[in-house]
Amino acid sequence: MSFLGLVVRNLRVRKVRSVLTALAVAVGVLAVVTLSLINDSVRSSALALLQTGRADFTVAQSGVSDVLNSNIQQVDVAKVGAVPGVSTAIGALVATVRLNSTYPLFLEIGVDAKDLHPFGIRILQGRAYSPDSTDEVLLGYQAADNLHKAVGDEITVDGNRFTIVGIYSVGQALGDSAAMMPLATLQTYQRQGGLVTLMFVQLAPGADMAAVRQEITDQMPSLTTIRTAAEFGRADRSLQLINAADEGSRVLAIVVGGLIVMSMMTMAFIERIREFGVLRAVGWPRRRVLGMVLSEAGVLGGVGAAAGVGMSLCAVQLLQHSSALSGFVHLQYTAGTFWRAIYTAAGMTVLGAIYPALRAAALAPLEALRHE
Amino acid sequence: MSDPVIEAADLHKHFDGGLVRAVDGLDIVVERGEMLGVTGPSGCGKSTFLHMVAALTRPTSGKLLVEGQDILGLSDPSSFRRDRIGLVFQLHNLLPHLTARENVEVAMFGTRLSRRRRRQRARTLLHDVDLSDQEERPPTRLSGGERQRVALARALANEPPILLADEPTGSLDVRSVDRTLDLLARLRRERPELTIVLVTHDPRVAGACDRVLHMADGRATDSPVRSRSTEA
Repeated sequence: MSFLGLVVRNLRVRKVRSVLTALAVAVGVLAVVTLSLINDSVRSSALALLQTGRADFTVAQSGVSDVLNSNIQQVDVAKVGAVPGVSTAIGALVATVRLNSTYPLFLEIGVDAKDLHPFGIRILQGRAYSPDSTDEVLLGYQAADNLHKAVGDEITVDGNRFTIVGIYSVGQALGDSAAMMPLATLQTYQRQGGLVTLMFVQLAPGADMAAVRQEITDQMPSLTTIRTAAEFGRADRSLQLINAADEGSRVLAIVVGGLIVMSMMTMAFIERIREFGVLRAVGWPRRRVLGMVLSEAGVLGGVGAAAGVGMSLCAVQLLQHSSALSGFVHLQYTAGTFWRAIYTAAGMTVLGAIYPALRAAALAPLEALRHE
Repeated sequence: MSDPVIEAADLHKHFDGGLVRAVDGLDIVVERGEMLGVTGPSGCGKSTFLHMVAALTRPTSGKLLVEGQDILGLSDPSSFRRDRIGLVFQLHNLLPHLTARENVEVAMFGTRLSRRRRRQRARTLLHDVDLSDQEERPPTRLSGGERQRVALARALANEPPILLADEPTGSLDVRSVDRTLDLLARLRRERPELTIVLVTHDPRVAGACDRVLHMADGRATDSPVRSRSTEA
């Protein structure tokens, strides 16, 4: 019998308790991994939106709680376009509306018809909207799929009826789950005359990006430029809050899960005092008893982590198809997701097992043998 | 030639700040290969003496040398117990969720033996105590005598020079007592250097010992005497 064999045997003899302990770890991992997956997905989707349209970087209003709440004067688009080194600057108004009960977060993007090509729009079916149209929209292909719409169909958005003149793709999930219309039309419907949400900037060949970005913020201090995920994280306070909630939930999961594991393992410790006494009496040193209890916790943590990841994969599949996130969040599994599962499970099991393990190791063999 | 394995001089073990004097000035020398019986009324300090020899509890004062090691100054009692002492308890103290073989193997953790060698040795030891056919059974499916024999096999797992047994026959029927005594006799023939200290209330077990130490109130009532059976 190996040491690991003994550890597994010890766990198997208390099946229900072992299963419940592993389940506590699994639920903690489920919560952390699921929330992390959604957080990562929201972040990457939003970042992908900022990087739409072959842009080298994006410009938003600085200091806003949510980048989608950014307000930039349309005249600033022309000013940015005139900065040396800038090839094109495209202003886009972005709004979210409730389409229906199954599509509560629908994205509308207002872009001038002339900017569709530089913006990176690829028309898959039909045609682009006319420059001055007030009732024509392009529908992202994923939105078309989800809403079962085709070219020629009508769609009512925020009480306004539009004809779908084309189906497009921008190559990223959030943009492909949206509708696009002329900038002026969306500005009118949203009562945002003269305003855009974001600017998408392409540089001239050979231009120094850092210098161009610096020039823009020097000329217009109310604006900020975003190129990387980290910059987006700093610019978007909502994302900062989501990140904080993500971190908080992880700590909470570790603490709550750890307390549950500790409760279970302390009960097991009390039942096993005599067993620890026997092992100490036959010559086991304290460190081996400590190692045995921690190894048992480690096995439970490993099983719990694996189960938690499996459960979270199922949970995110369900969430992906839920109404609130339909078409908006596209979950991505990364190595980081699984690292989070591992260190959450490790945190819970170490926190939960260290106290009973230390108590088991500290037992005087004679007193332990007399324990009833 | 004298070869003392256990030397106790003015040995004391007090509890509750001296209110209880479990062992109170014991002097005894046990020679290598000797089988010493310790008898006396309940609470006279027999088991406490055994526990001190096993480094399960520290003496309050006095001198106690076991295999030349001062128990009072022992830095690593665990490895001392594993390598030097074999322990058999009255209630066998086997782990109920392990098989007989695994119970024997557990005592060999931390030695240099590989897993395969541990298994082989456990099988040999169980064969030696006539339990070859029971090695995969858990203690709950063994009789009291069989459990005690598993405990004996476990005590001998690391080939200790000293075997300590606390009432090893206390919970056994007459046949099992006979069998245990036969086993001890065989063990002594095969390993004449093995020193055995037995705490017992059973006159038959005491009679099988080379010497018997009678204790009362934590002390030897007189010098250990040669038992009749060994004198004969």
